[in-house]
Amino acid sequence: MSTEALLKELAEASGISSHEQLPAGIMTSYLQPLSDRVYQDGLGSVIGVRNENAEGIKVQFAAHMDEVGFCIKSIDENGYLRLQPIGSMWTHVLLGQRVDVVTDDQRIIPGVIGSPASHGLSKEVRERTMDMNDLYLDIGASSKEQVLQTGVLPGTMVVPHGSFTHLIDRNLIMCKAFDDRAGCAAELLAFEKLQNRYHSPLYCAGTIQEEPGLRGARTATDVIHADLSLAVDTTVAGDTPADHNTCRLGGGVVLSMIDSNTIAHRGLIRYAEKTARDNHIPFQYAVFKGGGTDSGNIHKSFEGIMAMTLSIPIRYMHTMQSIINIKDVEACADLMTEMTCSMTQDRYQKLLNGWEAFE
Amino acid sequence: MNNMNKQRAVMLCDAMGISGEENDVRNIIADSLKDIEIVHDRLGSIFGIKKSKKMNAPILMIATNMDEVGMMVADILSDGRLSFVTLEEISPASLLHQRVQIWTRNHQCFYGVVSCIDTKFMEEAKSTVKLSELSIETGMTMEEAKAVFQIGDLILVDGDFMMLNEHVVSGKALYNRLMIEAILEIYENLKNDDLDYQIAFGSIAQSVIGWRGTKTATYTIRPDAALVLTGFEANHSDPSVTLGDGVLCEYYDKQMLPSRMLLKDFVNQVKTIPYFGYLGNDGSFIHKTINGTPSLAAGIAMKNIGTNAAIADLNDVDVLVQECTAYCRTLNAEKIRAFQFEAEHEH
Repeated sequence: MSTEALLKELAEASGISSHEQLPAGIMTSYLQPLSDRVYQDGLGSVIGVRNENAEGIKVQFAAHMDEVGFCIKSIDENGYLRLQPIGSMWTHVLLGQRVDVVTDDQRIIPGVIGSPASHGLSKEVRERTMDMNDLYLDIGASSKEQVLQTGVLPGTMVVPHGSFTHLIDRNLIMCKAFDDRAGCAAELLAFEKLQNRYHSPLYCAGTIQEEPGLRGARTATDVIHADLSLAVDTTVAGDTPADHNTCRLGGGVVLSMIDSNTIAHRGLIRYAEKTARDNHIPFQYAVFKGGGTDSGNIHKSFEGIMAMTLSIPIRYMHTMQSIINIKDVEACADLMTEMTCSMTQDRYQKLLNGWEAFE
Repeated sequence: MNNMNKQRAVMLCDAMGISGEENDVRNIIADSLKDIEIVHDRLGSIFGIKKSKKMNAPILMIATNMDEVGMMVADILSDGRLSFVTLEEISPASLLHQRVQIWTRNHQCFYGVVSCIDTKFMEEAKSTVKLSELSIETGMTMEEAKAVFQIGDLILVDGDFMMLNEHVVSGKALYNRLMIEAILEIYENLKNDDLDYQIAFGSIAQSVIGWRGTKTATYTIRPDAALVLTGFEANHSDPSVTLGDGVLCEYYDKQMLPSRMLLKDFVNQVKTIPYFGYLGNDGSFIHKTINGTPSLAAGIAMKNIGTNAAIADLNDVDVLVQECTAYCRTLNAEKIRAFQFEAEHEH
């Protein structure tokens, strides 16, 4: 599997929450040859499993397949479309952006999120952010009928128009939807690397509907009931004039210590640090309470699941174009691989006791 | 409270038990419950199960939370100070100039002070402070600090247990740790009783951070009824309660309406004062997890809950222990099943 080809194919696929068919299809096609069985939970999360009935610690990977975007809310008489955002976005970054409207039969209709011309705007209007309800989409139609004839209906998916691009540093790539297709790529890479290295049950889940509330993490976890879960997601890199924190692109996989709904398992954190050091895998930390990940619903399932989130640093999360470093995706896959293949019953029991594990 | 119990209460209250790293508290509980079967969930909650000689005996869960509020190291700054985030919502006003303990990955403790370096407090009468203005001084340079601390280490506001007089005490985390002490004493009172139902005595990890462990503990125990013990805030209480009031019983909480039958039975047997609360407690999630569990929260009045200078009356703890012990002796399998019967009909 080429990391770059995988990232391109996954990130370019259109799939907002509850419209994950395209990325799910790609996940399935990669999982199929690596799995004993590929199946779905009742909401559409894709799960590949190996060694389902073997002894040992049952490990689950989870990365969400949905991206932030919109669905069509209504169509007015003049052929303009109103948008319902799905996932959090700031209107500041949306005005004037090119988007793809993706019909149910997967035809792409280009459009642009309309923006008032700057000429003659009052100072007051210029200085505030536009209300999300005032956004509209222009696909060049002149009537409601014309829109409907193209197959665009209320509920139709709208995604950022972004094609995979290399930047000056060849390791830096730009595209929409790296949140969390980069995570999907990392878990697939790890799942492949572990093919002959982990002989206990191993599940690789592409979860659905993370952005509106970690919903697929709930259902996929219920189907799998793992002992240990590594969720992979993206986290804000603070190496730009706009964002400041301890993470940077190229700094390696991020151990997410805390987010808005999970405290990483304290024993597992120590295990991750030790494994990364022993295997010379670059890693860094995030202490960021501004967002949640699939771990939030995973760790409190059943009697509790030992869980943490491994993250890939990303610039411009939840905007139309994000930037990541391929090396960080690979570091993430490497850490998932090593943490999994050295996991034994005995070690697991010790980790459950937290800090006592490495005394 | 006798001396041995008081010693254990002090240990429980002073122990470090920030959400996610409750080992020290858990070990004290495990030691006190070592004569019965111990059950854990996988987030760190612990319960001792007092079995019944009867087969298929229903389970009463008597629980409180184990964890306490805390902070986490977010970065080590160029002058050696530590920046931090709070795990739970903590008022910045209650953090300023506090002494803190910083616990490393290997559970070593170092001391520091919360500072606001942009202000000369001797010269400026500053009355508000934002969390973003606060950082922790440890007396170390950046190099020294980097050798000792890591991002993600946990920070606890210091608040050693102290006696304000012969029975009123102050300290951190009293609202749950004194309740752990109460639960352990109730267990000790009842351990030789021959009951036709089981009791799960224990404490719940990762609870104050949003009842995460409450969900997993309930899944693990699968109780038929639950009695949650907790400290209730007396400041601003309405109707007003205060230290020395004995047993309080929560009639209403924003997060949980108690089982009517369990409530009625409890207040019939125990002299209680009604409490109306807004904070929630473990009952908030016990009662609505899995298929639902008749639940009730009882406890005692405390002040300054959520700070390192909470205040409680040990005499109230004694009354609570006596009353709950006596109440458990009035319960039986049939009554516990009857609480549930109502629940089944309501759904």
